[in-house]
Amino acid sequence: MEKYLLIILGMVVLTACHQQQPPTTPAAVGLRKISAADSQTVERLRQSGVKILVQQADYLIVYSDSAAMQALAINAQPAAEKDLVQRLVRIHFTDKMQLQKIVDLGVDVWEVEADTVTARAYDLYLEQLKQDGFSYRILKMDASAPEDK
Amino acid sequence: MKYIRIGRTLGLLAIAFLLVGGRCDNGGGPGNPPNAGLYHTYAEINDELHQLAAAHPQIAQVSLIGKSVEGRDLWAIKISDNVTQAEAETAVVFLGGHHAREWIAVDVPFLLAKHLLNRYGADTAITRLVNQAEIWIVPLVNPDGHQYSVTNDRLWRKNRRNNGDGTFGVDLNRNYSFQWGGPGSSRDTFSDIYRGAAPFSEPETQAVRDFLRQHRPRSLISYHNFSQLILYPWGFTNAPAPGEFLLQNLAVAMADRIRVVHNVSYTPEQSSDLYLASGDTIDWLYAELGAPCFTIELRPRSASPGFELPESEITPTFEENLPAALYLIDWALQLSKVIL
Repeated sequence: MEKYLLIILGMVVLTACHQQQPPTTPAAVGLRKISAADSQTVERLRQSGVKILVQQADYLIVYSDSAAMQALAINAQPAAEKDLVQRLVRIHFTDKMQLQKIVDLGVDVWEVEADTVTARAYDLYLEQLKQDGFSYRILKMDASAPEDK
Repeated sequence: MKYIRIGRTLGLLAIAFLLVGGRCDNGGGPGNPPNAGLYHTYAEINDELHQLAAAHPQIAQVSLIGKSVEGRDLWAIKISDNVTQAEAETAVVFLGGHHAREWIAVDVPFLLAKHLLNRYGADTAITRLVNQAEIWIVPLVNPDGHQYSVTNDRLWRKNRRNNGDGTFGVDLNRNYSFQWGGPGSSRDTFSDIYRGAAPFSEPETQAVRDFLRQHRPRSLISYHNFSQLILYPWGFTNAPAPGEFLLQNLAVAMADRIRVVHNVSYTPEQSSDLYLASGDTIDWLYAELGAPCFTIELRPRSASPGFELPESEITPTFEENLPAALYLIDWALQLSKVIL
């Protein structure tokens, strides 16, 4: 009797773990965290076309497949959601076409004013905006951080 | 001895079930329930919707319209006389909480339900609307995201779909099928405006779709925040929608009714006047049913305080939006009389 109950207990715990645990194995393509990347590593990643989503002082978050990481001989770990820092920015635009370009890039637009948008954006998007000739100002390095009192 | 061992094992089983239950609650747990202050959490909305229905059994009925991607219940409350019967009455729908961080957009439709039920019989205008219409309110379309916004990340926007690549979430208001994949939505899974792998890929939008197809509302408001806007179709194009004149007039009429309450202005405009966005609720419903439908972006006006609207503004935001909601219900009833 007790044996069967223990089997049920085991099944309950295993089922719960299976349903609730986030994946720990990196997917073929997905988010990866690279700790303590120097400027050369960043450059190599850029040249190989790897998307650098977040560039923090002590780590990078890239969106890449595992083969690219292996080819570059870069040690990358699965990224945690809390590592996905976005900047709070004010982006300038001149007309509706430019505004739409900002939106279509994938940034999280919060507010549209006459010639600026307040938005939350990954470094990847900010880099693209810079390349496209947009100017922006970073209001907060971590948009999700509590307001300074 | 044998019974003691069985008892001990049963105890372990009970603990395991409690642990599993606690984990499914995603940040809750019996000793530490999620807390959104005066804003309602998912659990509070569920409890209070059922309490409202129990307190007003003649005119309120709660029904399950689907499940979220993490398995939470999606509830609708129907408010009407003879509520248990499917009468041939005009349906009007109010949706809230597509976007997780927009807490006020959950509380406003919930407070609307509460007000309609509490004032029924005492307020002649409300009694008439409830008697003549079928008013449906779904206050929280995205319970997983909302819960995550309460427990983990206040500014979370999407649902909690595991995209399988280390990213989470689909923007539910880019996941409806009409013009899905067009401008103002993203294919990047990490983007806050990620549209999903396919139109209606998400159980939350599927539930809303099936619910709206079943009840075929004559009008609808989907609450969001912020910016104080009343948006009408289309959002995917700058071209005017068929019947734009009516949509514009209704939006202006609602803005007028909002303004007189606390002298707060909401700007009526075509959704695409803000910027183009595809795959949203109101474009889909307007294309599907041709029913006038609106996205109301609630308080505040600007990014400061943005999504984190102070609790002190919950009541005034509801108060100013109440006459606009009642106006739209009344308009839908008048329209039905003309058509009939």
